[in-house]
Amino acid sequence: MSDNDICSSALYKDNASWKDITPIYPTKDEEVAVKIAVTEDFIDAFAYFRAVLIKNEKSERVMALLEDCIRLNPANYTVWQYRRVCLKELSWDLKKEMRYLDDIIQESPKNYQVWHHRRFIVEQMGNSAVADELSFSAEIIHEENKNYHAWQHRQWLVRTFKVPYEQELSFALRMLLIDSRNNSAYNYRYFLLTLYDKTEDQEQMAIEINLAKRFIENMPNNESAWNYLSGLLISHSITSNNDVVSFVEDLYETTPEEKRSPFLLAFIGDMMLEKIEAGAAPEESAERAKNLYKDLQKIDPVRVNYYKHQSLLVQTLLIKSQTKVAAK
Amino acid sequence: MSFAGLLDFARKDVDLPQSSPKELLKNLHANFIHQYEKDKNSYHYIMAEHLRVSGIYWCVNAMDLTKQLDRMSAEEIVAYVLSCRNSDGGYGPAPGHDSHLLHTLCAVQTLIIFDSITKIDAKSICNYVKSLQQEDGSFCGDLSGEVDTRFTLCSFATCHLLGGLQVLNIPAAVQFLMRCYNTDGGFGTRPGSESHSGQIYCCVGALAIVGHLDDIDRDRTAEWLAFRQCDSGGLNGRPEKLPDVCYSWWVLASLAILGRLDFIDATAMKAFIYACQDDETGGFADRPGDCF
Repeated sequence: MSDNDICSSALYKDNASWKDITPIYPTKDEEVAVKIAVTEDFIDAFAYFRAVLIKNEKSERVMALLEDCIRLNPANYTVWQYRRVCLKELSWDLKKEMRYLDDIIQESPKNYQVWHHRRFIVEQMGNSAVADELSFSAEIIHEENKNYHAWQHRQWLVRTFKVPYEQELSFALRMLLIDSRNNSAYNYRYFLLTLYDKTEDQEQMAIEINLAKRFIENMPNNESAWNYLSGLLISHSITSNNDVVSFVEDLYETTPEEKRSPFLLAFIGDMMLEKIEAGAAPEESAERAKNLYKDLQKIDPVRVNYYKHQSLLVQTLLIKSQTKVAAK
Repeated sequence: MSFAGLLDFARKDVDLPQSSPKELLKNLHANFIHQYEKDKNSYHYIMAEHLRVSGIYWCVNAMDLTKQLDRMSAEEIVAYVLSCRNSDGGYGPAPGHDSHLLHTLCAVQTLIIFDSITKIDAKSICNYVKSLQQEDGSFCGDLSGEVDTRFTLCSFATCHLLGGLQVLNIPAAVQFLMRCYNTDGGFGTRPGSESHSGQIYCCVGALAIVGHLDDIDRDRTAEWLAFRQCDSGGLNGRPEKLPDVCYSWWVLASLAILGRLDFIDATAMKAFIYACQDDETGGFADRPGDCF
């Protein structure tokens, strides 16, 4: 039988092995506060936490106390910070810490502190942790496919440990095949292109453009796929890519008017703006752009002011292009 | 219609219940905050110790906006905030907690609201902020080393309010922000991270403080932000995410900084925000129907 079984209370203040510590309660209203049953554990554990901080005690029992504090409030960064200090001092078993973290992250997958702590442990463990980390982050991403922390953790892992490019591109693709509206997965692909210097690689860029086109074809109302496509073309221009221009024009022609997505019309609007600026059939392009923005006001009324703004922009660019011609 | 076609129009959104509030319940919210401040033994108050100074700022700011600041115990609050100062010059969320940039900014803002800025040592705060700037220009939120563009805004805002921006390495900080600028016009937490409305507010805000808004394509950023409005009128933080009342602030404030506030349908957005109110207790839920 252990001490815990004899003790009728789970509180630190009633625990014999903590007799040497004088807890530090936050306010003089302690007595009143303690009466609230639901917060009793919390006040008790944190009173002992404050005391060990001041005493600077680093021990097994403190690690157990910290686990209690984390269970009561995983967002308290002082507790996590102290845990890292203790881990180092005690040469704590890092694999054990990872298993502990697996559970905590499953319970609070959106907590900044847990992910930061996880990264610290991986840094300590080095290469040996990478394979498990990739599968762990994949597991969390499968549970919630836009979990910002999990994707960010994976980026850090790939960048720090030079995880091969192809394998990660496939991971992002698999996530897109499950949900082609997953903006996090597009972002991850673009991150890989930048990390491995592929943004000027014609072959890879053609693959990416093709991928965006396929997803748009299947689901023209997919904001992320359209943003991905225009993002890929941003350093050059949309109209410089004939393949994309004819894809978009075909899609426009083959889609019945009432089924054309706002993203399709807005994309062609952007193409027209580029043409006006470049002085390519400016009057006709302006006319077409204005009609597109008029249609958009009807099919996407919540953004009516934005489309009106775009129409004004068309007019401004047209005048500019005409003055340029006149000046010649 | 094909299955894909059906999915295609199933954008994530919510309905506003018929019975939801149709106007701002200003006094009810003020009472809610007032009660929260008074009842220091409530479960929620005790559990929020790790973010208390930020919580104080949110409450005080809301009371100030609703012109009911005089209902708050100014002296007690100022004394509490002052007691959260640490020897490194920064402020923690509560006495005895480590300093953090989030709470340092909130402490400064709260003291400004109560006209008590002379009670603090601006120089030591600015030096604390400076100590968290990294070589690549980024900022950590505290000693634990977590880098995030949120902390760049906290740093700039804190030092700007105290007139001490010159202690920071602004060119390096701006360079770091621009590494977080994505091809869709948005910003993320770190270089390579996905665009997110909250982070856009932080980055656009930070660039505005130091006069660097022209470093970005404002129209592209504003366009991305305009697309955050859902048919329900609510705003989301990323594409294909549910609208949440908090993004009304992040998106709107960013558009205001960019001079494009009119890109949002104000009537629809207000209807969404009103519908998020708890008309029994006061306060707001993240989206209509989520009050508890």
